[in-house]
Parts: sequence; structure tokens; C-alpha cells
Amino acid sequence: MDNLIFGRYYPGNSFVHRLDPRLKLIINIMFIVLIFLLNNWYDYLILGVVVLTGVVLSGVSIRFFIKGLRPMLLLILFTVALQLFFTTGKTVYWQWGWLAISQEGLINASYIAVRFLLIIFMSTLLTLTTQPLEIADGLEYLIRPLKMIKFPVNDVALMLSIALRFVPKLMDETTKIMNAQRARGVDFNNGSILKRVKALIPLLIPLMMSSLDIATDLTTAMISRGYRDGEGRSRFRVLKWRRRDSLTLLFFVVIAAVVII
Amino acid sequence: MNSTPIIDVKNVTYSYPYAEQPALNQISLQIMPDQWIAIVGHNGSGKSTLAKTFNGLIEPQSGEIYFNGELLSEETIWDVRRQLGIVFQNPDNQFVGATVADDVAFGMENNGVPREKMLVRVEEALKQVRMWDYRHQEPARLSGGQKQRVELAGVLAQRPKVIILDEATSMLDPQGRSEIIELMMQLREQGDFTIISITHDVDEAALADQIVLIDSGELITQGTPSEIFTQAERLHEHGLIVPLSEQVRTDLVAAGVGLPDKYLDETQLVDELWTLHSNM
Repeated sequence: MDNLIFGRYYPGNSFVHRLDPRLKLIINIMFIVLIFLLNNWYDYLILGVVVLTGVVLSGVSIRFFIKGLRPMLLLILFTVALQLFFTTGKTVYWQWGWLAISQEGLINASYIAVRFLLIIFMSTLLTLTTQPLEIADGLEYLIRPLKMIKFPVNDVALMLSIALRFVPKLMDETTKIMNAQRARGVDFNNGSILKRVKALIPLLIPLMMSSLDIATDLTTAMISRGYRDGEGRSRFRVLKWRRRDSLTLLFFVVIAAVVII
Repeated sequence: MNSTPIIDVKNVTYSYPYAEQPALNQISLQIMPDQWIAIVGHNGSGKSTLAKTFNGLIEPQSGEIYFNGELLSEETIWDVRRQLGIVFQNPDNQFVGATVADDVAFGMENNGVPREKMLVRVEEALKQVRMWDYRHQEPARLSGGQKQRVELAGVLAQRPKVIILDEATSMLDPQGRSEIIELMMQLREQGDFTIISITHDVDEAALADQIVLIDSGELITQGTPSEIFTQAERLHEHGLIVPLSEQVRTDLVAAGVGLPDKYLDETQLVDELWTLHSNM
């Protein structure tokens, strides 16, 4: 699990770290939409420079970003290969049966590769510089308008923050149960697929039961501390939108306008 | 001392669904304000169930509960929950907030306390339990004892009248346990709190002003530690043991040492022993 950089937080206090999570979320969404709208190299160059600036400003070593790519590498290669071999075009460089590399295929494939690269870098930048908690707070704020269509924003926000809080706890629990079952002779790593799936049962059922126990305890504790429903609560944690957030947003809007035109 | 009981339990009976025996059987109990009460009993004796009836987490099938003279009902229940804080057994499963400070603020958020007030109270409460330096930490990085201290801070921040510790020390190591007990003693010094500790640890119960012994959902006896602990036979009958100092005393008496025939805590026992020694 330690190799999984994707979705990890890298503690720091850089410019990017201190930006408002709402801003970072908005920019990420804008960025992804933008990436799919564009298809010429100058625009990608501009976006690439923007992303690199973000990486440099975050103070996180570029190695982390490259590490973050690793789990996605196979997916990227697969998609690129599909684009490369199956795009039909006029100028064909090489052909073997129904596989062909054409000029158009080559261009499409490299677009896809660049898109992947930029999106992964950008979202890794978000998760590396923003605490999960801040992301949850930011998301809650951004979905707040949905209240108008009776969407239970408060409940979803609470669920999100509890889920985040219990991730490490459940990970611990999983390791504990796995080791306990290993000590009793359960083999999780060997055998046929069917055997391995069967070996998961002594892990999953205790994990499920302990989750239920946790849920019962947690609700009891929450009720006795006066939790009713989301209404009428005050908030301890507040997000602060500062001038640097407005400026960064402005900068992005300008960039977006430039590349679209 | 105020003469109206802070918690008055009248003939409360409760059975869990599908249970053969009632968990609480016609229990009546009065708890006076500003005292430290220990409710003791072995596992499954009904003591935690009893505590859960105090703030309406469990609604008894019959009987009434009065909090500070007011009957516990739909209307009063949220008010009672604000004035009565519970620290539960498992430090992991009751930690709601993502960080220490968030968790302490949770109860106040529920009651709509304005943010400026919360900031002050969170700081106060965390300093009181000596966890202020950890305020930005996530629960996964804290020890069990530290988590329970944070839970206690969460209760204190709500400014309750009654603090219930529902086996709050039973999952802790000896050090974590003595830290929590020390905090409880400090709270008693400060006064203004009724402390109810639910425990099967007799050494913890020995610190209380009053001990309530419960078995099979029935109230067996009630009294000061010295009254309860001289009834070793009776405690054994209900699956409990006497504190270490009492065991030492009875063994010494049996061995012919002339100690007084009453319960002594550790300091008293040591005092008796050195007086006896210097008289020899």
C-alpha cells in the first residue's frame, strides 16, 4: 500500500497547500473539462507549463508525481495502444492485417497520452496538497446548492467525514484480522482464483461485523452528545476564501480563455 | 448540599428484545449532586444499561427517571443530554471528529453554540485534559488513553452537570487508566460535577463517595466504600473482589496481625501497619 501515492496527502505549507480547497476543486474540474475541449499542441504546452508551475509551487518533489503515475501506467499504455492501432486514417505508415498505424492514429494517441498525464498530475497535485478533511469540507460547500432540490447535503457531508475518519481505523482492523487468520493457517496469497476468493471470507465477514459494532457504538456516542439531524448545528471548522484564492481563480480563467480562443 | 437528587430512578424495568431476563429489574436509585458514585457489578449485570437510561438512550418499559427534578420525556431529553455527558468504553468507536479539536467541538456544534464560544471552550477543555498540543492530530495517531482524554474534554466543553464514565478505563493500559482516574479526581476537587463511574475495577470504585452494587439488573446494596468492602463474602457472591488493601488486611488478620476490623485504603493500611510496628 505504501507505493500508492495517488490520493495521499503530503504535509507542507507551500503556496498551493494554503489555497482554499474549494478553489483547488473548482480548478481541477475546470481543468479536466478544458483538457477535453482542446486539441492542439500550443494549448497543451500552455497547460503543461501551468501544471508544472503548480508542481514547483507546491514544493513537493516531482518524483512523487511520477510515482503517482505508476499505478495508472498500464491503463495509459493500453488506451494509447488502442488509439494508435485502431484509428483509421488516410496516411498509413505501417500495416499488418487489420492493425495499422496512421498519421491520425499517431496524433490521437499522443493527445490521449498528454491528456492522461496532465489530468493525473493535476489531481495528484490536489490530493498531495490538500488534507482529505479539507477536500470533504470543500465538496460539502460546493454541493450546497443541491439543498434546493432536497438533496441531503448535511447527511452526505457527515457520512463523508466519518468515512474519511474511519479509513485508517478499518485499514488497521483489516491488517489485524488478516494476521489473525494467517496465524490460524489461512493462506491469502496462493492457490487458484477460486481458492483465493474463498480465503477472503474469513477476512470479510469479521470486518463487516466489526464495522457494524463500530457503527452502533458511534451512533450511541453521537446521540448522547446531542446529535439530532443536520439542522440547527453550528460549525467549528470554516473555510476562508482569501485574496490569493481570487487571484489564482482569475489567473485560471484567463488561461482558460486564452487556450479556448 | 442540594437535597434534590440529580438523578432519581424510580422502579425502572427494561428488557432487551428477545432477552430471557430483564436487564434491569425494578431498580430504584437516587444520586445526589456533586458526588462521585461508582456503579459496580460484573459483566452483564446491567450497569451500562442503567447508565443508558439516564439520558434516554434506552427507554425503560416501566418506571420513571427524573433528572434534576424533571421527568425524562420527549421534550426534556435533549436538554438532559446537554447536561449529562458520557464517555464510553471503546476509545476508537466514539471518536466522531476527524481531528482532536473537531471531536471536542462536536457536541457544541450539535447544540448550535456559536463558533467564537466554541474556540474558547475547546481550548479550555483540551488544556484541562492536557491534550492542547495534540489539537490538530488525527485519532489514528493517538493512544487509547489520549483518545479517552479527548472524549472527556468533549464532555467538559459541553459544561455538563453530570459526567458518566461507562467503563471508560477498561480498554486502557495501566498508565492510561491512572491518567483518566487522576483527571476524575481533579474534576471532583473542582466540584460542580456529579461523577458516575461504571466499572468492574474495585480499585477505581474505592475512590468514590458512594458505591452502588448491581447484579442481574437488581440493586444489591449501596453505601460508602468502607461499608461495601467489609462485606467481602457478599462481593464474592456477586462476582467481584475486594480492593488489594482489603485483601492484604484480611490475610494479615487471619495470620494474627492485630489490625482493626474495618476497611482501610492503602494509606490507612500503611499508617496502621507502621503504628502497630512501632508499638511492638
